[in-house]
Amino acid sequence: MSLVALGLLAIGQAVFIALLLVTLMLGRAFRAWHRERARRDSDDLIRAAHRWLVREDDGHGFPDAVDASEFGVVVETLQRLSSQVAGDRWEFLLSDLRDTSWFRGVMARATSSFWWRRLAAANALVIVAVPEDLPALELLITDPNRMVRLATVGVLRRLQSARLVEHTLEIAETSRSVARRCPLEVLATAPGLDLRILSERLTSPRGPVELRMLLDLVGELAVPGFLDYVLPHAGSSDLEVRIAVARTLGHFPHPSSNAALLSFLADPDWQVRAQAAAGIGAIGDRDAAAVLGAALRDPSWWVRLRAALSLRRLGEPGLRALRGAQAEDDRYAYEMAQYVLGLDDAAIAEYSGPSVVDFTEVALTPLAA
Amino acid sequence: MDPLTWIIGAGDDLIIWYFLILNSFYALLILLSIPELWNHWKITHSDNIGRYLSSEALPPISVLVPAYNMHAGIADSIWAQLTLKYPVHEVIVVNDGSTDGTLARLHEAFELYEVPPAIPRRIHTKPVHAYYRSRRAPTLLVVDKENGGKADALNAAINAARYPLVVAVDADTIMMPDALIRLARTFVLDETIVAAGGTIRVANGCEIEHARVTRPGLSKRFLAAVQVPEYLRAFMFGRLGWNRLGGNLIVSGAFGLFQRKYLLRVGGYSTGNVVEDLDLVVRLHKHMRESGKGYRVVFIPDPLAWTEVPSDLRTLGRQRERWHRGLVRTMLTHWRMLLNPRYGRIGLVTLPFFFFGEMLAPVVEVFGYVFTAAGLWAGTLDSRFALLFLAVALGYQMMLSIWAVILEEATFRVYERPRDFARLLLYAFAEPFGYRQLTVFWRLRGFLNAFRGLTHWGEMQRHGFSSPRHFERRKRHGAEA
Repeated sequence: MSLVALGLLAIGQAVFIALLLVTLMLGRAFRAWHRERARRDSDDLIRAAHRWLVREDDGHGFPDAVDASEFGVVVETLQRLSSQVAGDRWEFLLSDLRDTSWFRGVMARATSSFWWRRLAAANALVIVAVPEDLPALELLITDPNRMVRLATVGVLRRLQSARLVEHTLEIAETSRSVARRCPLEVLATAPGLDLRILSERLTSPRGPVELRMLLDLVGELAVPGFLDYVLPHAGSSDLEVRIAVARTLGHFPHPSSNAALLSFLADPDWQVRAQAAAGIGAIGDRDAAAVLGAALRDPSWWVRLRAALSLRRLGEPGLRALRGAQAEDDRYAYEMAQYVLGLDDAAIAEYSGPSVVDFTEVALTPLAA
Repeated sequence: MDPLTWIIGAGDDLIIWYFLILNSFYALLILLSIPELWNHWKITHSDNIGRYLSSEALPPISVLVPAYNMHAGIADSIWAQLTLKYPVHEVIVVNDGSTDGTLARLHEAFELYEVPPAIPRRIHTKPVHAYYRSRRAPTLLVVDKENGGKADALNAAINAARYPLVVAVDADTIMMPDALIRLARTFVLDETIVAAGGTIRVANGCEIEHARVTRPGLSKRFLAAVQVPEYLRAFMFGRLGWNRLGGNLIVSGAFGLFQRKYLLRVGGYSTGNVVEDLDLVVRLHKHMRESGKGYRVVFIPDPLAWTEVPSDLRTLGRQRERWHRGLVRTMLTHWRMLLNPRYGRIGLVTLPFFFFGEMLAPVVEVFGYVFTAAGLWAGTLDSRFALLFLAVALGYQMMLSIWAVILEEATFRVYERPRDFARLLLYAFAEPFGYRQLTVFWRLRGFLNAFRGLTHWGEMQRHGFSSPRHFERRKRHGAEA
């Protein structure tokens, strides 16, 4: 490398550093200005919305304020308003929004080739969409970008659509277990969810992955009528389906689910036995204390733990079984009974909460009992 | 030309080419970090974090906190972890044979009661004395065990963890309240992720109350403040760039999220390495590559945690020496992966960069100074050229630091106060003069010590965040006392 080349490089570098510094300064000044403007826009928008809501304006004030504000500021403000305004008033507000250039911008963004613009459209439509927007929503819920798909799923909390439910089930089905909760949770809390779709798919599932997912969803929904669709899968040869059935039955306090859970306690796979033990505790089957007491001698640590926790939840019969195990020769039963009897009520509640261990995860590692 | 002159001339040329190639690689990392940061920034600004709080969409998390002689700050720190914003999480504190009354402090603060030892041990650890649960915080589990080092303590915590995701944090790490949500959200968006690291910033100089950073700021001490641009550089473009280039090799032990099942599969943290986090991630890469499954180890810039950095030369020197010694040990342990096509980009790009660009860097830099002096003495090097080269080399480092500040300014903008911002720039300019040469010296010592087989951690002088109010002020009071 020659001296001249190095000299030029040094000069170029110095100029570049100077440019970076200028960029930094200008960036700071711009951000300060922009933040102030966004704050002002947001305040104006909220004032306009409040005037519109109490019918103090001529009907144009709010749409005009929306058009005068930045896209992102409108979305944020509408998100805040949507938690304060409900029912017909909110629907009227939305109908007025549809004539604004802001809304045309939402629809334009929905078909943008940039994912972040489509994401912005999805976030906006989740708050402002009406049934007429279903084609755009369908496009977004099948978007190649996962973030856009997940954002769009949220619209099911406001709108009812069998097609969107189908797409959401697809998203959940193609997700791994860690990520499946997100779309399933939306479905579980979606008002007016068409249950026929679920019962039809439960009757003839496309495979074990879909079946496991549907069983989890049905457990979350806990609609009694679904028990008849769950029980036929108790004899599945797929381990994870049996785990899912055992987990789901824990949401259905019914004699037939008690019986199925008790039979699961004799399953050859410990994951099913552990889930069944947890399920019995969840539905509070006090007659099962003796069987759970026997499960304290199970070779699997997880089965013993779940059985002991369930016994604590069954009240006096369960406590009697645990104290009985303390007097036994079986080291496993003694140790687990000691452990669970030593926990205070808050710990038991926390241990037995809805977020029990996902046994499909645990199944991947060998257990040293 | 006599042989000595030839050797000096060839050495000079080699150093220049090393410098050019290495810095071109850094430039590539910068370029790659831009789209990566853009994506994260867009997600951060578009996603409504609050909606996750009231939902079960995010998988439950076990927070693992190894604690050794943390009596002063342990209670505040654990309360801060327990009250993080997250739908379902538990906190597992491992008292790793502390001798300063850490366990007694935990007993007092959380009303611990002993529970029988019925936790399955999948990873071998030093003997556990007892398990405790808390009457005041049902989601807290305290494991009291024989001293075995940080890796051993983390392994004990992994054994006791119940949830599919685990976050390893240092007891003196201060996570932002929404850090767990931001970290875990990544697993929802990309299911192939096996580990994710967040950003770590320098806590010295920040206003801290009850183990929460209430106002970010820069330390008044030069040594602590000069590390701020250094951390920014490492996190804002170094690790982001690696996301695009085939995978990160570092998920900081002070703040990293893992899928627990993979930690169990690789046997947890290695107790024989002083930088157990680097070693773990390399083993995760190795395991995943060998199992042939698609996976990612990523860095996520928006989850934020703060850590106290050493503010005296002695402690900082020990830390940097240990980091480099651990890097050398890891590279030597896993040398079979180096340039091995079986391990894909990790074997062909990431590990070679860490081997030649990081591990050998202090050695090459020292040789650079020696050869430059020798070249000037032998007359093979033009003094104007040497000075210009030095200016370009130092200028390049400044440029990298300023670029990191720009990325920070354009996105997360933690340092709002103009005074802090001005000082941040000042330290970015000052870093190459003296501080850099010191770190080279410490790293060189680490390099040499690795070959001497040293395995000790060295004492770390920490001041802690125990009492409320201003960190700097507290430290001054401490010094006066």
